Amino acid sequence: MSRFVYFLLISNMTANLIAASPRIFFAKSEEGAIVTMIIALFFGVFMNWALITSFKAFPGKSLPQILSLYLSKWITIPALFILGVIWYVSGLQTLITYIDILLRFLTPEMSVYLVIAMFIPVITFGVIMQSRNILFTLELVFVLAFPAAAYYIVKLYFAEQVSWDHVGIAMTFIDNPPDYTVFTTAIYLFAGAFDIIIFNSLLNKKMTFGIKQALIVFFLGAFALFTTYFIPIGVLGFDQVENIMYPWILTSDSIRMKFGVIERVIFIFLLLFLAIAFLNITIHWHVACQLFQSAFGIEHMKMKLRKKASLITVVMVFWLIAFYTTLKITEYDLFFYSKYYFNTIPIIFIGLMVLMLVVNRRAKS
Amino acid sequence: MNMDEATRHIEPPAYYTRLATRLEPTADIVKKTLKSRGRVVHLLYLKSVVDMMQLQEIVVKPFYEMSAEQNFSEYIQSLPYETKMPTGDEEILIEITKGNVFVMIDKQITLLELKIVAANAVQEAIMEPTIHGPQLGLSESIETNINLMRQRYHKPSLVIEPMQLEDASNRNIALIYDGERVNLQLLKKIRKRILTLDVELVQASGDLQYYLNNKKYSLFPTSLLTERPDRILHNMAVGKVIILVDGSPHAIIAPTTFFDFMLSMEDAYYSFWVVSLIRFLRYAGLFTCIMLPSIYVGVTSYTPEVLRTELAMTVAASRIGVPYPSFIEVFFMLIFIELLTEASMRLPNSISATATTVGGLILGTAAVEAALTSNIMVIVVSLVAISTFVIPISEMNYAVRVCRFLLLLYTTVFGLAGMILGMLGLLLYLVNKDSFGEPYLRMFWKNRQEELKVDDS
Repeated sequence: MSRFVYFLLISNMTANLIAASPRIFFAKSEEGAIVTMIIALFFGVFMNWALITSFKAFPGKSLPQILSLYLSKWITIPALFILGVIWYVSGLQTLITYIDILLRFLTPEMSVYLVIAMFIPVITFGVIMQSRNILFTLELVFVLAFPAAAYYIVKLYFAEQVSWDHVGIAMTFIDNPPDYTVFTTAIYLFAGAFDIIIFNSLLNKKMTFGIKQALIVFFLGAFALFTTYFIPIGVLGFDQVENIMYPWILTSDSIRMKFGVIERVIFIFLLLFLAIAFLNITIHWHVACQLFQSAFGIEHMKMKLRKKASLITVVMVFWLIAFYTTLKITEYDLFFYSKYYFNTIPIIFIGLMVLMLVVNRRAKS
Repeated sequence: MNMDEATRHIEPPAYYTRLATRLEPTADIVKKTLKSRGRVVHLLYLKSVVDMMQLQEIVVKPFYEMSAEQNFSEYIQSLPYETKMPTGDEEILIEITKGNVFVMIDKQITLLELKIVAANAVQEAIMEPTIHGPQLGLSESIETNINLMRQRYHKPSLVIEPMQLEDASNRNIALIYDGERVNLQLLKKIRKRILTLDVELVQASGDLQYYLNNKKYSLFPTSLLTERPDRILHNMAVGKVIILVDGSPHAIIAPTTFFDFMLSMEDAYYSFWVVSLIRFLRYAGLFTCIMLPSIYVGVTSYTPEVLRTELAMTVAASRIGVPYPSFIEVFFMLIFIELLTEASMRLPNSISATATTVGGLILGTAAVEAALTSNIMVIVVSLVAISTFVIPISEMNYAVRVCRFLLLLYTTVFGLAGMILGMLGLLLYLVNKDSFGEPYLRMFWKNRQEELKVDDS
C-alpha cells in the first residue's frame, strides 16, 4: 500500500475522536460495545483488504474511470451520485461538529456566521485543488502535527488522572451480545482508505495487501479503538461517561502540563484537531466534488470554462447546504442523524464491493 | 586631393558603408581602412567597447608585417577570437555593439571578439555570506561568471547555451546545465518561457526572474536568485538549470522548491549535529516570524486562557494602560519595525547604525513608557524582526514578511482558530504552487539527486 493510503486511514481514525463515535460507544458501554469493537476490528481489516484487492487490477485509475469503462451509464451515474452524497455528509458531519466545538470551547463569544466564514476560504481552496496536492498537504500536515500528536498521546496514557480500575470495570462488560450501531460506527474508523476511489488515479504503483499490511491496519485500528473507548472511561469514570456531550474534550481538559507555557492540554487538542478536521473535511469534500462532477459527466466536457463553472457550482451548493444545516441542526439532531449515517455504511460498502466484483469480472474476461 | 591620390583611394564596399551608416550617429564608431602594398582591410568597431591594445596587437600590427594579402586573410580566419557570423544586418550590428570588430577583406567578412569589459571583477558575497564557504560571489560580466562555473565544475557535460533576449537592450543571457543530469522536459519549458518573454527591458537577473514567474500577483518566488557559485553548482549537480544575465551579479536557479530557500550553503560545511541545530533554529525562526504576532493577538484578545495563569496575568499586566486593542498595537509595531528595516537597508552603512539605534532602542523604550505599547509587544516585535533574518534567501524573507501581515489579518478577524486555519491555508497555497512544473512544497523523503525525478509513489 502506498504511504498515502495509510495517511488517509489514520486521518479518518483520528478525526473520529471529535465526531459522534465516542458517544455512540459509551451509550452502549453496558450493551456489548467491547465485543462489537473486537468484531469490527477484524471486519475493518477485511474491508481494507477487500478494497485494496478490488482496486489492484486498476492501478492509476479512479472509480469513475473504472466504472465508465465497464458498466453502463444507468448504473454508474446513480452509484457515483450516492457515493458523492455519502462522502459529502461525512465531511459535513465533521464540519458541524467542529464548529460546535469551537463555539463551545475556544471562542464562545464569536458569532456562528463568523466561525463558518472562517472555514469557507480555506476549505474551498482545498477542495478545488488538484488531487495530487491534497495528498501532499495531508502528508505535510501529518509531519507538522506529529510532534504535538505524539506528545498528546504519551501525555494521555501516562496521566495520573487515568484510572485503570475504571477501564477494568468497562472490560467486564465483554460478554454482552454485539450491537449493530456500535459495529457500524466502529467500522467507520476504517473507512479512511476508501478515499482511494478518487485518489487511486494518482497511485500508479500496484498495491498489495498482504499479512504485513493487514497487521499494520489491525494494530492501528486496535490502538485507535482502544484509545477512543478506554481513555475517556479511565479519566471520566465508567458510570458518568455516557452523559457527556464531548467526552474527548473533557478528557483532554482533565490533563494539565505542569511546567508548560500552555497549561491545559485541551488547547493542544483543539488546535491539533482543527488541523485534522480541516484535512478530513477537505479530503471528503474533494472526493465528493470529484464524484459529483463525474456523475454529471462534467469530466468529459471540452470547454475548460464550463468545467470551472461546474466546479464553482458544486462547491457553492456544498457551502449552502453546510450553512443551512449548521445553523439549523441541534446537538441532539447531530447525534441522532450520525447514527443513521453510520448505519448505512455497511450497505454502501457491500454495494461498492459488488460493483467492484462485477467490474473485476468484466475486466478479466 | 590630387589625381594621384584619388586613384589610389579605394572605395569601401557597399555593404561596409551600409553597416557604417546604420551606426553613424554615434560618436564612438570607428571606420578604419588599412592599406599597405595594395592590400586593403576595412575595420568597423565601437571604440568604447573594444580593447584597443588587443586590436593593435592582433590585427593592425600583423597586417603591416605580413607580405601577401592571402596570408593575412587566412591569419584573421585562424584567430581564436572569431565569433560565429550571424545572418542579417541587424544581428551583425548587435554583435558590433557587443564589442566585436567587423573585419572585411575583399568579400570575406569576419567578426573578432575583442571586447573590453570594465565590470568583470568578482564581487564579495554580500547577501549570503558564509564563514567556511567561498568568500567571493559572481561578477557583473557573463564571461567571468561562466569562467567561475568552469573553474569549479570540470565535466564535459557542462553545457553553456547562449541566448539573446528580444528586449530593448538585446541582453546576453546564458543557460547553464549539466547535460547528463538535466531534465529535458524542464529545459524545453524554460527555454520556451525565455523565448516567449514579451518585456520592454530586462536589467538584471531580478527582473528576469520576475518575468519568468509569469504570474503578476505571485507572492512566493518560484526561482532562486543567488550570488554564490557554490549554491549554483550545488543545484546544477542535481539537474537544475542556471540562468545568467550579462551585467548582473546574480544567477537564477530554476526550478526551486520551498526547501531550497531555507538552505544556507553553510549547511554543507559543518558537521551533522551542528547543521541539525542550525536547521532547527532556522525553521523555528520561520514559524516564529510568521505566527508570533498572530499568536499575540489571538491570545490577548480572544483566548487568554490558553496561556498558563501566571503568564496570562503577566501579559495582561503589561498591557495595562495601552489604550487600544491588541491588533492595532501589533500592526503599529510591525509597521514600525518594517520601516526601520527598510530604512536601514536604503541608508549608507554609517548612517543606518544611527537610525537603528534611534528607532529601535530609544523609540522602543519611549513607546513603552508612554503606554502606547506593552513591554511584551516590544519583545515580540524584536523577536519577529530578528527571526525574519534567519531565513537565508532574501526573496523568501520578503514573502514571509508579507505573509505575516495576511495571517495577522486572518487572526484579527477569527481568533486563534483562525490563525491555525490561516496557516493551513498558507500551506495549501504553497503546496498548490509549482515551479516550472515541479511541485513547490511537498515532503521529500528521497535524497536530492532523486528529488527532481520522483514519480508520485
